[in-house]
Amino acid sequence: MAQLPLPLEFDSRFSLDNYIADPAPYIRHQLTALFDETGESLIGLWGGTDSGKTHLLNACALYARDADIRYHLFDAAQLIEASADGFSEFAAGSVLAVDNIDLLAGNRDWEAACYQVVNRVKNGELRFLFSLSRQPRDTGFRLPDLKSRLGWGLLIALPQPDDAAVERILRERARLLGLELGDEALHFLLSRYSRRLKDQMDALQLLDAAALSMQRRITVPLIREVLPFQLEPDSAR
Amino acid sequence: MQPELWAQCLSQLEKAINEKQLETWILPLQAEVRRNTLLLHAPNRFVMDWVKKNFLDQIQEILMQLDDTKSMTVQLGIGSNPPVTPAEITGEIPVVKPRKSPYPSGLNPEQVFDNYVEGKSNQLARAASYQVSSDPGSEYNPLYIYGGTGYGKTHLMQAAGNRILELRPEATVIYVNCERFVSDMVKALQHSKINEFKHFYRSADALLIDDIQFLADKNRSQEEFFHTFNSLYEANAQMIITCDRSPKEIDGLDDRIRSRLGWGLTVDIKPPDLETRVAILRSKAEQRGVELPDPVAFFIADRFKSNIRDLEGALKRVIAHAQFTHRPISQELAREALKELLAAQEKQVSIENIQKTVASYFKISIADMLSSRRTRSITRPRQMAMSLCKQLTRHSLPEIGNAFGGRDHTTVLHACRKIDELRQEDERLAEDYDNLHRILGH
Repeated sequence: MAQLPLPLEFDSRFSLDNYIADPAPYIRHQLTALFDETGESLIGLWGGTDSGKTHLLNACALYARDADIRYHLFDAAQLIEASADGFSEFAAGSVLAVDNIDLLAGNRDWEAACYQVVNRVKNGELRFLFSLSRQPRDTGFRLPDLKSRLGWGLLIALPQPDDAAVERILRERARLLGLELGDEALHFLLSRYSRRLKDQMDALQLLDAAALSMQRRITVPLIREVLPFQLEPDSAR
Repeated sequence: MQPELWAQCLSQLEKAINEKQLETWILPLQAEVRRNTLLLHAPNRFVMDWVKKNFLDQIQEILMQLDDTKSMTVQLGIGSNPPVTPAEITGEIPVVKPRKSPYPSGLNPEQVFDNYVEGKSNQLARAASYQVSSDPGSEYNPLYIYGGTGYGKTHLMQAAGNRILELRPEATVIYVNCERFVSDMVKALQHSKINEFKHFYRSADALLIDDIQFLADKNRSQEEFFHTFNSLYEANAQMIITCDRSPKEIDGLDDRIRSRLGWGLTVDIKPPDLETRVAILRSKAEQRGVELPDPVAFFIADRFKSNIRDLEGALKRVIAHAQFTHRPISQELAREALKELLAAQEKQVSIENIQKTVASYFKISIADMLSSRRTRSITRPRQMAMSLCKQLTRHSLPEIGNAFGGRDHTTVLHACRKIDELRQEDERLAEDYDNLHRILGH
């Protein structure tokens, strides 16, 4: 997902409306309240792989653009390559977001920079959104002051999508891509391919490209042709 | 004034990159032309690195197109254009501009003594802070408050600062987090404004520095802090300093600073007990205009023991859940709102985790802890681990005994009583116990 350092194009695939999960309305409400300054100014999205953390933070970019609010989104994996000096200052007056903030754990400079960011949030200088794979107290941050400060915000646990949710998300993605994905092809993909949402999304992207270049519809034979090695054999099921 | 060349460059860049990127990364740069070099000054290293990584090639390319001689190069650095100020012309002392902060003095007016919840754990620290705010710069200078993260040190120090201002509105009270003190100093050095920095901090009637532990291993900042301290001390200006540990425990701090931190009064804040946590929850709920039933307050306070921030975070979650679902706050709703946090918490504090943490703290092996060895260096950690298991988990005494090499439940009971007793008598053991409590996240 091309998104950082700042999304060049706002990706309409990621919107708050097409985030699919049980607590979606609650999450939408809290995130938009942060932007509209009617809710918490420090929010942490906490969940495992495929729970939609990156989707939501990208979706916020779209919301911020429409609401004309300055929003800076960074992926911690990229931040760690850069110098932390000055990070807490440059986003004053805007909404700052860091995806996968727990990747910064153990990096003294970046931990200190995030600590400063939260202090600035407390002073009303900016609003801060972050995502992480577990709740702050269980992360590997060495700075106890940072751990406790991250726990200060409104922590929202994102549920792992179950098979039914993965199906709904795939259908929605196919619809957005303008793909015709019949039940048979969809169920074949879901039952024979990786159950991880990210893998399914990548597969859909591949199938989209293949269907376009071969001028064919997405069918079970096409899936077998495009993803022959990744499919689990029938006997494995 | 930006050089013409850079202005042209900017207009080209406007076409090449989007508005947000231009605003975030390019416009904060200040340009200067020196001979055949376009010097771009970034406000800090973070911006400089991003520009270097993402835009420098583009800038260079544009410059090549604009420069007929093809001899210009671009250099990126941190800083600003040398300012031409009236002070430089007249030699006067520069006028210090007020800090950009939503609060005068960096103080948060909401953190006052009235909404600071007092309990056994913070009684002395509160009394000392109140006393200092009544008569700043006299008896307890500096006032040094220490305790674990999230125990309410900042609130107390802010309350003292606010009260000093209330009693003496003309006083200059500066609150600053130590990290900010350090970064302000670095910035001042980079931008050749160190005299303004010194003047700003040394002109305070009361200087409140939060989390002084961040000064550790920063020699240049320590030097500056040392002189600031001396200057303020001589001027009878009040200093209040907070830290997560006592002065003697801060590694990487110059001895002369360490000794000065102990010149006044040193007070500690301990983890809040259950009653105090309940009172804090009530107070926070009231500040948000929310009615919090007692059973819910006890339910949350019983489960979030580590620090006040976690407690507040849990309360925020409960309130947000209630407001969104339009349901009254009840124990059932609180349980629902906190279910993920509680599940993760219960998972984390296991007997095994406690055994591992205690063994590592006292540098003994797990095998020793579970063995039948009865030397004091093994029995004390073992008893402490048993006592922590009883306090932090919901396992029964037989279960705990069983997990410690198949011991009887009466052994566990004896261990718990022994540790309770020793905590009253032996300060060092009490400190070890508190530290372990903190490490285990409670």
